[in-house]
Amino acid sequence: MANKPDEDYIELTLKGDVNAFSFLVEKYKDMVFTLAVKMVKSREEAEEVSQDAFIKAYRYLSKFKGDSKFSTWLYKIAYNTSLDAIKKKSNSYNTVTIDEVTVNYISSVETVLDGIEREERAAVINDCLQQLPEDERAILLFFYFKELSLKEIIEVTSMSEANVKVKLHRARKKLLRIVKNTVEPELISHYGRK
Amino acid sequence: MGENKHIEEIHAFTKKYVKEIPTETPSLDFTSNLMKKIEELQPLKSTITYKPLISKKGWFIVFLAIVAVVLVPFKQRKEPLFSLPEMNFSFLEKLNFDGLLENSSVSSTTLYLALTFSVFVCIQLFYLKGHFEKQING
Repeated sequence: MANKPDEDYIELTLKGDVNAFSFLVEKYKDMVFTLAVKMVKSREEAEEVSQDAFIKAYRYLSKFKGDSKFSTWLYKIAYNTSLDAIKKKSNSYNTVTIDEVTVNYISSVETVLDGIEREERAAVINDCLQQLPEDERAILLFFYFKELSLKEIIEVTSMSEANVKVKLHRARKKLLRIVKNTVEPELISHYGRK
Repeated sequence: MGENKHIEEIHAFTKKYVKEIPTETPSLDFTSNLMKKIEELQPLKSTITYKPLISKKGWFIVFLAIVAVVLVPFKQRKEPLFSLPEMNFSFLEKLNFDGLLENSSVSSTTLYLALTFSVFVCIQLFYLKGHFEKQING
């Protein structure tokens, strides 16, 4: 059973071949786990959330109609399972004010970021992302990291198109603000050198 | 124009740096642990397909058999294959329904009410059918 389309594995699973489902797990576990980790912020919890998401996907596999991609359907389950896990914990809501950012502001932040090693830079951005509200964080990840279309994001999050666009716009501005605050000491020394 | 350029700059900034975030990988025994849990679950209920007791092919054979039994000997015989016993239906002429509905009348209000009621029943039937189908399909 090597590299068949998802529909084949789904059909086999529905006919009783549980092993066929493991191929789908192997294919999508990184995708589901990455989303879960970015949302719940803890690897241990993300493992649990990911397992729960796959178990739900298995239970409701017969309800997958095939009118969207299996990955989109699975993302929706993983997203909702992550949100449920977050709601169970008492998390304080992250509020970040959105200031007007100027073009110069962006370029100086970029200059500082580009001066850091790629791995360290990715860690900085990751930490900054964690400070966003979970729904805005998820939308940024879906749009920029997973490169889902707007239509797919709407399907995964069950939000309206207008709501997704507004949250995406806000999330980008907030992320920039958070990154700027994070690299502020470097920014000050950068302007100092100028 | 300036606002659009501003939005484009922020979009480009976000795209450049969010793409660099690494993909996370779960623990090595993630799949095996998950599959153990799945195997303990109830087997999946696949969609039930109803098969008729007599298939279309079966009905066709039955039809041919009837034709063979009834028509073929019927065509070959000059006299009828069987004959019905004689029955007297003259009692029907004695039944008189004249004037039964002469004095009855239905008001237009009743007629409109009955019509409106029928229309609402039909609408509700469609609505309820759709509602229960959605519940069943989830």
